[in-house]
Amino acid sequence: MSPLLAELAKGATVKAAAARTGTDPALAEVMAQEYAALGLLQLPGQPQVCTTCHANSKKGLARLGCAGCPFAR
Amino acid sequence: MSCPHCSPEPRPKDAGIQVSTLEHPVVALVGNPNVGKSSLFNNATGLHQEVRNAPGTTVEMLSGVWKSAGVELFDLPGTYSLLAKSPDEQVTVDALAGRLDRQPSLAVVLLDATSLPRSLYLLGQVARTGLPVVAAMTMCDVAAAEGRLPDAARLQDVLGIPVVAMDGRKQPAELAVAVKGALTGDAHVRGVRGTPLPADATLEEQLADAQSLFVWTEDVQRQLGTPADTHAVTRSDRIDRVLLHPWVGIPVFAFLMWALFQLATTVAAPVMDWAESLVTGPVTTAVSAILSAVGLGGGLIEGLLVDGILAGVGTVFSFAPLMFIMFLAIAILDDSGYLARAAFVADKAMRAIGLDGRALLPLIVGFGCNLPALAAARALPDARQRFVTAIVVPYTSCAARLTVYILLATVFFGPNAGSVIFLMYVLSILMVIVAGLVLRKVTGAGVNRQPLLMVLPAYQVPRPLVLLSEAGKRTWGFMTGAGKVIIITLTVVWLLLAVPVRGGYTVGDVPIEDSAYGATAEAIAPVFAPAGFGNWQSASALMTGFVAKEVVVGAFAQAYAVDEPEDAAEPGTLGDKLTATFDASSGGHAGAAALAFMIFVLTYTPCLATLAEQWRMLGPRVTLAATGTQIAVAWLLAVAVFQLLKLVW
Repeated sequence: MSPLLAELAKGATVKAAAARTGTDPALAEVMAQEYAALGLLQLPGQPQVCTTCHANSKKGLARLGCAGCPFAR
Repeated sequence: MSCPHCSPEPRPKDAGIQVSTLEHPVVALVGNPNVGKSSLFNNATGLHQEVRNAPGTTVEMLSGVWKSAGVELFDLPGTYSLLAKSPDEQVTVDALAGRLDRQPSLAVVLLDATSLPRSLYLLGQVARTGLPVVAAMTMCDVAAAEGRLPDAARLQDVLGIPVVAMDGRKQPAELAVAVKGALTGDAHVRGVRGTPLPADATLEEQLADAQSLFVWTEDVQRQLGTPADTHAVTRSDRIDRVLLHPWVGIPVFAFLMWALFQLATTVAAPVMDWAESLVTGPVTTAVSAILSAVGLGGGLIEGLLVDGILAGVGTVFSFAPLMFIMFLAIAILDDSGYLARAAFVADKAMRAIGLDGRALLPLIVGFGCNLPALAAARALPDARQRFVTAIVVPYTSCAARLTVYILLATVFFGPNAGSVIFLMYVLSILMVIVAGLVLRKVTGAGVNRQPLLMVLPAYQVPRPLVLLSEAGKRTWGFMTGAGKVIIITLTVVWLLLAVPVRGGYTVGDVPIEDSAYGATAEAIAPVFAPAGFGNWQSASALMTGFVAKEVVVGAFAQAYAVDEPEDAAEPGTLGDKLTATFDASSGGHAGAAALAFMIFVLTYTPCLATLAEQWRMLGPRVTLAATGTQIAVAWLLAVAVFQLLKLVW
C-alpha cells in the first residue's frame, strides 16, 4: 500500500494525507482519483456505484473494490 | 452514471470509421480539461476544422489540418487520466490507441503550468502508450503571476522531449517546428517505459503501473526543483484531530446517534400525531359528511372509506413527517462531512459482522423506528451492504415495541420489569449480530475483506435548500412507494374485521372475535401453543402487530373489551385479564409465556410499513423469503425460551 493510501485508510482528507506524506497536493488529488478508479477507495460524493453496475457482464473489468460484491463474480 | 469501478468498454479497432483521406500524419492533442486545448487547436488549424462524433458515441471530436506543422490535428476530449471513467475519456484512450481513426504518429500533451504534477501524470500515461510526445506548456502567464512558472528549458532537459511554453494569443509557430522535428526524431519521454500494459493486465499490474508513474512524476518535480505546495492546516484538519480521536470521537458519535434516536422518537412523535389527526379528524369528518349527504353514511361504504382506506392514508401521513425529519437529519450529517467520519469510527466494530462502518447509522436509527432505518440503508453505496443491513434492521427493537414490553413486563415481572425490558434490548443487539454473521456466510465467503477506504470530505456548512429538496423528494418516494402497500393492506385488514363469520352480525358491525379477523386469530392460535401463548387474544394482537406494533396494546384491550390503558405501565383490568389468559394457555407458566411473547414481538416482522419498504428495496422474492425466515426464527426462539423456562420456572 502506498504511503498516501495508507494515510487515507487511517481517515484523512486528501490534503491532510498529502501533507503527512509530503506529497504535492495536486499530485495527491490525481493519485486519489486513480485509486478510486481502480476501486481501492471511495471519494467524497462518488455516485452510488452499484446502482447501475454491470460488472457481472464484464467480469474482466471488475476492479479491486468489487471483490466483496456478489455481482462482480 | 455507470459504476466507476467498471471502465467503459474499449472499442474494437474495426469500430472506427475512416473519415480522413489526408496524407498528413495524425497528431493527437491531449490535456486536462480547461488548460487551453481548444484555443491551441483553433490557433493551429484556423478554419480548417471538421466536427464529428466519435464512432459509436455522442462525444464530439474535432479534427483539422495544421498547415504549418503539416499534420492533421485531432482535438481529443480533456481528461486527467487514461484510466477512463467516462465515455469522453474513453474516446481519448481509444483515439490514442488508434481504435477510432488512423493511428496517431505523435501526441501533443498540454502541461498546465499552474498544476504541473497533474499534467505530468497524464504526460507519463501518454508516453506509456509508446507514442512520441511533444509538451506544450499553457497557463504560463497565470503561473508567472503566481511566481511559480516552471522553467521550460529545464523541463525539456528532464523529460527528454521538446517542451514549448505557449502564449494562447499567438500562433503556435514554435510548437509547429517542434512537432515537425519530433515526427522525424526520437521524442520519447525519459524515464517512462514506452510499452502499454496488455489489455488483460491484472488489477495489481494496473496499480503497480500507476504507482510507478506517480514516482516518476515526483521525481520530475524533484529534478525541476519545484517546491511542493505548502499545506496549511485547514479547519477540517483541526476538527478531525478531535473527532477522529478514539477517546473523543466515539462519545461524540454516540451523542449524535442518541440525538438521532431522539429525533425518531420524542421529536417526531407529536408531529406524527398531528399529521395523522389531520386525516382522521377534518378529512374523515368531511368524507363522512359528504357520504351522509349522498345517502351512503353509516354503511359499508363509509366503513370501507373511513376505517379502511382513510385509516391507511392516515398511517402513511403519520409516517411522512418522521421520514422527512430523518432524511433531513441524515442528509445534514452527510453534507456536513460528518457521516464519513462516523463511518470511520464505527468501521472496525461493524466489520466483525460483515458490515462496514456506514451501516451503523441505519442500525442505530432502527432503535427509534425501523422505517427510516431502512431509508438510511438505501444510502449505503455497496449492494451487499444494503442487502444485509435491510435484512437485519428489523431486529433493532423500535420504540413501538417498547409499549408491548412495558405492558407485559409490568404485568408479569413487577419490580423486575426494567431489567426484563433491558434484556430485550440486549437480545435485540444480539439478534443483529447473529443475523449479520449468518448473512455474511449466506451471501458469500470473503465478504467485506476490504477495509473501508474512503477519502474524508472537507467539512462544510450544509446547504439547506438542496437538503430540504432532497429530503422532500425522498419522502415523496416513500409515500408513493411504500404508502400504496400500506393503504391496500390496511384496507384488507379492515375488511377482515368487518366481515362476520358467526353470530348473525351484519357486515361492519361485528365484535372482533366473531369477525373473519377474530376467526383467523382463533385458527392460528394453536400454532403458538408450544410457546405458551396459544390463545386467540394473543394471536389477534400479533396479527395486528404485523401491521404496526403501536396497536398491539390496543388490540389486547379490544380483544378483552376493556379500555386501552392510558399508560402501559398501569395496565389495570387489562393486566388481570392478560394474567389469567397467559396462565391458562401456558399451563401455569405465565411469566415464561409472557417472555416468549415479548421475544416473538421483538423478532417477527416489525410492521407493514417496514415490510413495504423492504419490498421496494429488495423486491418481492427476497422480502417474502426474509419475512418467512424471520417469522420462523421468531417462533423457534419463542418456543425454545418458553420450553426451557418452563423447566425451571
